[in-house]
Amino acid sequence: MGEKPVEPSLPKCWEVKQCRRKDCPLYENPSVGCWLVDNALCEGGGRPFEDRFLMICTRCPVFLEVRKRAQGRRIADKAILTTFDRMVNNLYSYHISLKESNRLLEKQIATLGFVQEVAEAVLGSFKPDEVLYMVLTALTAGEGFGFNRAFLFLVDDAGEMLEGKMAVGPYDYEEASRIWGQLSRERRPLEELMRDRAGTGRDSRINRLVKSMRFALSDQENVLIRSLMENRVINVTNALEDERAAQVAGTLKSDAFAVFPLVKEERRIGVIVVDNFVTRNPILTEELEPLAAFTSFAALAIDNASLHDRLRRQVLELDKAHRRLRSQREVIARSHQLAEMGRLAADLAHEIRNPMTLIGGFARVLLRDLPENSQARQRAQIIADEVARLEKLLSDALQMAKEEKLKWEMEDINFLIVETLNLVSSECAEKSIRVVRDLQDDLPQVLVDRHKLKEVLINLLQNAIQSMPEGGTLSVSSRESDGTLLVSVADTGVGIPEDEKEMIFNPFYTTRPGGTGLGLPLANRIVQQMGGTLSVESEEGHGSIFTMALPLRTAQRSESHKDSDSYSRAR
Amino acid sequence: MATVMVVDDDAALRMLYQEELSREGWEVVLAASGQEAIEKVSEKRPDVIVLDIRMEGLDGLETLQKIMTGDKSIPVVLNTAYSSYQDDFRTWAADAYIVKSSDLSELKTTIRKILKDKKVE
Repeated sequence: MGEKPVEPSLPKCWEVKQCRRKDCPLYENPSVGCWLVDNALCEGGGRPFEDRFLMICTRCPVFLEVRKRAQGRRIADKAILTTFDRMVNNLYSYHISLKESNRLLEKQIATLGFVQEVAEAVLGSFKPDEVLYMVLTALTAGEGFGFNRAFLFLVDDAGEMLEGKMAVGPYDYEEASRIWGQLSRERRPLEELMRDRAGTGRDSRINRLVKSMRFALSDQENVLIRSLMENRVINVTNALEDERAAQVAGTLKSDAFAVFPLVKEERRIGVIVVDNFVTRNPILTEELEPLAAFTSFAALAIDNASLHDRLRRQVLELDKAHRRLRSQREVIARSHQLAEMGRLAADLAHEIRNPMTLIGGFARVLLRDLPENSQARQRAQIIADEVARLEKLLSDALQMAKEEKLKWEMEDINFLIVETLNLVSSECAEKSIRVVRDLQDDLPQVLVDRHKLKEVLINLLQNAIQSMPEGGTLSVSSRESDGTLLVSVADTGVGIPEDEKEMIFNPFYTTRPGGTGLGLPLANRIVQQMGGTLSVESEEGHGSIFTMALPLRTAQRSESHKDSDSYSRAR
Repeated sequence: MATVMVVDDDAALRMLYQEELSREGWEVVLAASGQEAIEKVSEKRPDVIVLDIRMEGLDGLETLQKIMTGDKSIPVVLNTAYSSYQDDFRTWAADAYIVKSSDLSELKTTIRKILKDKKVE
């Protein structure tokens, strides 16, 4: 009698795994293989059979024990087992590859979803910078195409150069490890990514790098130019072996990158460059096709945005020009009015000056004829003084109102000073004012407006005389110092209080009875017109010194002014 | 004695100038219009002419031009209430330009200087 083969009893799973789960349906029930039970409580027990079996149970010590016990029992069993084993293995690797395909599909769906989101956002934006940034974000974000870096180059307005405009990604490895979070594959909404833009910044190093890159469109050897001109995607897998890619590779410090042309209806807009500078993942040929589709969409969006932007700027410029024109028209109208008023004022001044000359002139005649200390003489004096004041006011006001060009001439400044002093010499004698001249002999001739300068001197001299009603000393000096001509008029009069010094150059400010308040402001304005300054030093009760500082001008300027003089004569 | 001709269409001003300038020891010849001035120039041969610009009939500049075609050597001082032409008097070939003022000292100084220069020549 042959020995009845012993049925290999199933190993007790709770014993093999030393499991104490009494609530498990398998507990102390070895009649069925544990991998066949749907609701076993061991690891992965709740999964569907295929998953549970392939992922867990084929590696479970219980199953391995079953397999071990079955081996060597019968030849047929062994053959079946080997077949079964191979089948299981094949099934397992098939399962893994299916899972990988599934994962890729899911990622592609996510990418497509994100790209669609970007596309919608891009189409809704007309701000060129925003559009560019969104395009680059779509290329680099984990949920997008997930490249490490993306660079954008655009053709300049003149159509001669390809210029780096914007980049997204790390500048070097150090920066990459710092901002690794941004490169991570977690899903983030587009809005959040756009907010990060502030962090990326226009001035980030990567942006500065790309902006330093410029290539002439005529440089057909350059890989970027070639991609743009030939309107084709170029995948540089090893820049070290490609001479034409070396320049770009060197600057970007990247030995593998892909170049996508941005072309819209024959119009060359620019190129986009992407690389995996940090992860060094190769850019696969099958990746290029969907990318090319995206970049042609990007070309459209960038072109639209820049067109829109150009249009917007043109509208703004037109608007500005329109406004400028309107305000110019107003200015012209206003200056016509002012010119008309000026003409009227000049006519009016003429009409007033004739009778004033008569009134004041005859008052002076009377003054001379009437006996001294008589009441009539005092009255005549008042008339003469008041008319003189009115005449001064009239001429100062006319001068203030007049904006005229200077007539430059080479002049001997000492001669001008003497000439002007002669005009006031009789007045000084009358008022017991001693005149002292201290004029430097060898002064060079200077370029000034003779009449204007005389006006300034008369104003300063009269100012000095009027400040010395009880007599005193009037000193006039001239000297040269460091290329500046200095003319001083000093008096020993009442002086100017400290708190009034700042105001004496303000129009209509006067402390003197009979003063017009226009003399000094006028003098100041003329001196400034001639490129000089007028300053005052004064001590109350002791007198004032007014100093005019004029730049010593060269004769060259004089020549050009002589030309304009001869022109005016020819007229 | 130097002769100064004053041309002005304002009678009162002529009176004032007559009184003031003759005090300086000059013989004063008056003309009430440009036409009268031209007629008197050849007769009186003045040493200097003080000429108003805005006058009825022949104005100062036309008068100046006519005098210049006759005798270029007589110096002319333009004397007017307008200050705005001051920059142009040399273009018109006048010798000086004095804005009318109740204080005649500038006018007198100018005449004095012209007379002095003339004598020097």
